[in-house]
Amino acid sequence: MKKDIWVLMEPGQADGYRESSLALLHPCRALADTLGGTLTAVALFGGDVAKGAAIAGAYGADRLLLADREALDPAAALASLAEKEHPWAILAVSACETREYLPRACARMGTGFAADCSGFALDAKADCLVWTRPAFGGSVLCDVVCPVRRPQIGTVRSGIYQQRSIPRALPAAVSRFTPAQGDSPRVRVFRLLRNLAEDGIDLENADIIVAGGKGVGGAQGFRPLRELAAALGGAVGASRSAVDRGWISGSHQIGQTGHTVAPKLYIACGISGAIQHLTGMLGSGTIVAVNVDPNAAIFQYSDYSVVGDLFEVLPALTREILRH
Amino acid sequence: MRTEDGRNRNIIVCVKLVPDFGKNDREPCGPAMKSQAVQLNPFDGYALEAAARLRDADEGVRIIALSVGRSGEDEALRRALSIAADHALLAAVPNPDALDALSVSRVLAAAIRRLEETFGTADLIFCGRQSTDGQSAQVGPQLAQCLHCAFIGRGLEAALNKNTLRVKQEARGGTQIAAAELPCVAAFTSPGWSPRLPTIKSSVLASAAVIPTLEFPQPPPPALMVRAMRPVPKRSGGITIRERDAENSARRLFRLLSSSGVL
Repeated sequence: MKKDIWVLMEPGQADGYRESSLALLHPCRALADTLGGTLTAVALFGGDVAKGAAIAGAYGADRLLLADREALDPAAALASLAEKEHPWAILAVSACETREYLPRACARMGTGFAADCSGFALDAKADCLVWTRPAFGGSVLCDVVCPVRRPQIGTVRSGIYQQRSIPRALPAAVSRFTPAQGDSPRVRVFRLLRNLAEDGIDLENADIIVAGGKGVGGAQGFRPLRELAAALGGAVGASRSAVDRGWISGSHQIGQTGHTVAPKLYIACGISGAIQHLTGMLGSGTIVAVNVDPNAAIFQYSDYSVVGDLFEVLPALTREILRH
Repeated sequence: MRTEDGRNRNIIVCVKLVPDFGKNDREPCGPAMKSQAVQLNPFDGYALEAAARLRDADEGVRIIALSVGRSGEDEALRRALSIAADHALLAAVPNPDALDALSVSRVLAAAIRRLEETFGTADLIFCGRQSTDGQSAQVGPQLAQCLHCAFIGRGLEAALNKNTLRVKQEARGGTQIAAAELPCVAAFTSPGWSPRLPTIKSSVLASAAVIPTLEFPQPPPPALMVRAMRPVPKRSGGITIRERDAENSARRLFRLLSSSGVL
């Protein structure tokens, strides 16, 4: 039987699919080709048939499994679908929704879940995927495998892969299905209290993060960081020191008890480099640190160490970026 | 609050120990070795705090700490007792390190069903959003699946109203309120206030406590296995930028970042 690789689509702009989901189709296309298998995009939330087929096909999928209505219990819907179709592997982008329904689906299917991976590769000899994921606060990379149980399921951080459209691609062949309802009790969600001062960017999926620590000095001190983040199209993070002092809300906290992030660029401003913070961002591509103290511990871990006052350096950097 | 038939509300809080990154040497470390300093998983601490606040609001709430470990390895439970738990139970398995998250979830679910025989219905099951060592945030949702309950994640604070749990949770760009009927599972993250600390008296009582053990001699085998582990490479050869003024430093940084393709 041909090996079928599934990539879960998340809803995106204008009835399309999220870019980070489409980006996963690119490495999975290569994987399917190597295995002589098929690549299937799966949309559990429904959507337009023609549009879905065109987009899925354009980014490499052979097939699109499209729900005919929104799956109210995505874990049950996915498990039921997988039981019928027997995919070899299911991949998705790591996001707050997938982090909650995929482990449930894995529990239903009795299979392993590799969360928040920074990459995956094929072990042809062992006939399984090798997932690479951070652990121990981000200080260690683990290679994990699910050698026996099928399907193999994992999520990959966004930003690791880039979407690649295929010229003159055919639309994907669409198979519609009615999502299984499941028997799990529902959670009602209401009263979204938007914090207007906050940016809506997901820290874990941000490409660029500008983070502030004790050196920021106060809530207003975050302003040059926000301006730099805006100029770069990035998100604002914080160390526990800044959060504990009430200068910024806990949703921005990066570190052992906050978020673990791995953006392409991490700019640490007024952060000393305590290990509890480091463990949340050591996986970053490039680390820039700005600190007045030339002996700050963070300089041992940064690619670019700027000794200076963040209140002068950051605005100057923002100006430089806006100039280009 | 007490249920209609006058019994206590039971909140099970699942806890474990993780390496204490702060106390170990400055280097980021790998798996816990015997000599390393350990701490209660901070996220489990937030779950305990959320449970304790429910009990502060209503004395009819009883907190039972539960952990999976080797027989006799009950340090996480003693810490939970010293902080807020009224009771503690150890689900003993022969080799906890070999288990994956799903196996742990299944053992916890089986342990909860067993402890219901003694304590009555498990009304609420609280846990940390994730552990700082495994970092996969799976146990919460999987436990909910095994127990056929709703799951509320990213919890900041909880409130109980008759048979409904309301949790303020992190959401994109702010917070939102999620609600589910009891019994349900909720996972907690850092709320912005410091969790309560043990007192001298509670620590003494906790260290002397007799903690019952539920035996699980044949836990479900793991589906996921770790094949290799390597430390994230430390950066060396970092470039120091310290020009005569901030403008020049910023300019140099920008040039370096642009030329290396980062920007």
